[in-house]
Amino acid sequence: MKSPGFLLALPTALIVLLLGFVPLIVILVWSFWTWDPATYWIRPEFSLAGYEAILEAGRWSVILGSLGKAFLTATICVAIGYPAAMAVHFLASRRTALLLMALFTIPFFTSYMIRAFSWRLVLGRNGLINGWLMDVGIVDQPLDWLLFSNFAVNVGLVASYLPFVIFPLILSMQRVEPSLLAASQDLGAGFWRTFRSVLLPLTQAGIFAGFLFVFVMAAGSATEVQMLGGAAASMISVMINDVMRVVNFPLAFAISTVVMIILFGLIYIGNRLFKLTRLFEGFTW
Amino acid sequence: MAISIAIDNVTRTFGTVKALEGVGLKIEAGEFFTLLGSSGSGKSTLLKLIGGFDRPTTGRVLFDEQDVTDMPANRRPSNTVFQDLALFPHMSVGDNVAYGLKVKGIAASERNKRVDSTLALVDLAGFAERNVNLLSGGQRQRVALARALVMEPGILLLDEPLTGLDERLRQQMRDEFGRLHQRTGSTFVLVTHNQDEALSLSDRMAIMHKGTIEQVGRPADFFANPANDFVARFVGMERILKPERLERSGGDTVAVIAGERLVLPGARDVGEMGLLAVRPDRISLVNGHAAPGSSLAATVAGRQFRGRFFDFHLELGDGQKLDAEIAVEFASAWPEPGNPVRLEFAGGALVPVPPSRTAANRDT
Repeated sequence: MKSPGFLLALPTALIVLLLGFVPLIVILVWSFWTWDPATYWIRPEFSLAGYEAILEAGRWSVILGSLGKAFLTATICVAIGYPAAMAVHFLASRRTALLLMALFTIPFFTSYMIRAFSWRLVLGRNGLINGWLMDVGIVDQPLDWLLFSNFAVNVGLVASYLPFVIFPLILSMQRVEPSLLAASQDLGAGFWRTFRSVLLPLTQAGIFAGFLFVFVMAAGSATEVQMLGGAAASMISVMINDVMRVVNFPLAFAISTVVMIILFGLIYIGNRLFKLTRLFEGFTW
Repeated sequence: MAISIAIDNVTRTFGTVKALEGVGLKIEAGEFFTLLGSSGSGKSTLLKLIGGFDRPTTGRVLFDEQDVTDMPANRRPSNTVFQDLALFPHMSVGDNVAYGLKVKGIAASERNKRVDSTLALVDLAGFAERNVNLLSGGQRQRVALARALVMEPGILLLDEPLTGLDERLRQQMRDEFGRLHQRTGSTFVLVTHNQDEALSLSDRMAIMHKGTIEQVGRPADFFANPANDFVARFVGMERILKPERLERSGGDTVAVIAGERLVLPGARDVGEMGLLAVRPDRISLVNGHAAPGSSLAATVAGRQFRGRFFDFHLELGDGQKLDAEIAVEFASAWPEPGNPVRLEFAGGALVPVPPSRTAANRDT
């Protein structure tokens, strides 16, 4: 273990351990403690009150709803991102590829807030889309469901997280030897057959990695729901925030723990199924 | 059924680079034909055009007289063994071999039968369930061959398939190619930079250089009548002598080198500008008396042990260098470096060749 690699990795490992892992453990432990109304804090006494509270007041449906939105967002991102990644990797010249990649990263440069707000200008009653639809005469009245709806939330989420799916996809496509696609063609397969039988199976690690990135971030997002969702719309992070405001720490920690377990479970299953780690190894088929 | 190939005046340019320039070639049905050349000679580009992975900028590709220039690879009756083999890493040996048949819609029972018999043909019977990633280099090679051969292609294209194998395995696979060519009767087109491979396998071969074909013929032709000094070098006659002049005398050619006359009995006439390609195995060293007209004076510059023979490095009176391969049992009596000898040239030791078209060719 006394290799230079180990020493180089040590600071990062410590940071991940201290700032990432330790707080998670703390949350896990505290979620089983008892809330003390006298101190507005918790005391180390075992209690499942936090977990019981999850089942109340429609909290489960918020969790499931959030995971549902995250799932839909991730699926749409993969569906849009896959052709985009193919365009960058297979079709574009080096120059165009760089330009496209730069375009894909633009969402990173603006704040979540501004990005979500800009969608209001596009989707609102007086927004670009409604204006155009009425100009063209497709509708008489502005469409209300465009903004402050699940539709708007999903649009905002997809727009925010699309780049996260494109980069792992490009990475996985770079791992596919061009001769494999040529070999498929040589053996009589047309584009779709090659796509289905060779390209898709060989990029499944990238597909799952991209899906997972988007899923995790969308499941934890708050801004898009607050800015674009309807009055009743909620998201896990918004709910945790609300619970924290009334200082019900065990409940907040219990929700966090449940979501964490779901996400880790997803990663574990995904890795077993799709060999996610291969994406980050040398080419070792 | 074996299919014939015709390349009709094909040019392929990439930007300003001419990968192929005005190439014309006819490959007979059932022939084992080799495209021999160094990297950048255009041989792989030509193979891609035959396989349908690329289109010529101008010119046509014909299979059995039919124009297939615009036919994509998946519709051509040709199959390829790729340089990196390109085995599908997510499929078993059997699935790799069955892939083309599946795409074609062949029923499972028929498919399995053909996969099994083709695997047996390449000595991989019982390997169908194996993971392709865990096979040895030679076995992977055989899977790639089986995957192409199971399609019963009219044309089998082999793109440098032996690179990356060790010498023993190369030899083995080379024999395998010959055997499979006999068995299948398909037209085989091999691309290689290895002249041994080309010479031992080909019915006919073409030497390519800078996007053009320097010579086409049976392997023996390249030694007896190399088209120019580039070809001579490429087939292993690495020393080329530049005579003061070449003359015709009766049916023979007379070369004047370093002030001495040398008669080359029956040698062809290649004009006054001709060069002489040297076959080092046809030169012997003589002490004292040597027949006039078939020998030259030289100095021993050095010698190297090469196993079955010694490689003598020699220098003529005018400074030109050549080599002679002298069998080990004769070599011990010969002079140490720095001493003079006479070189005796057997028939065919010096082959008159015209200079190749561009001076740049001589660099290679």
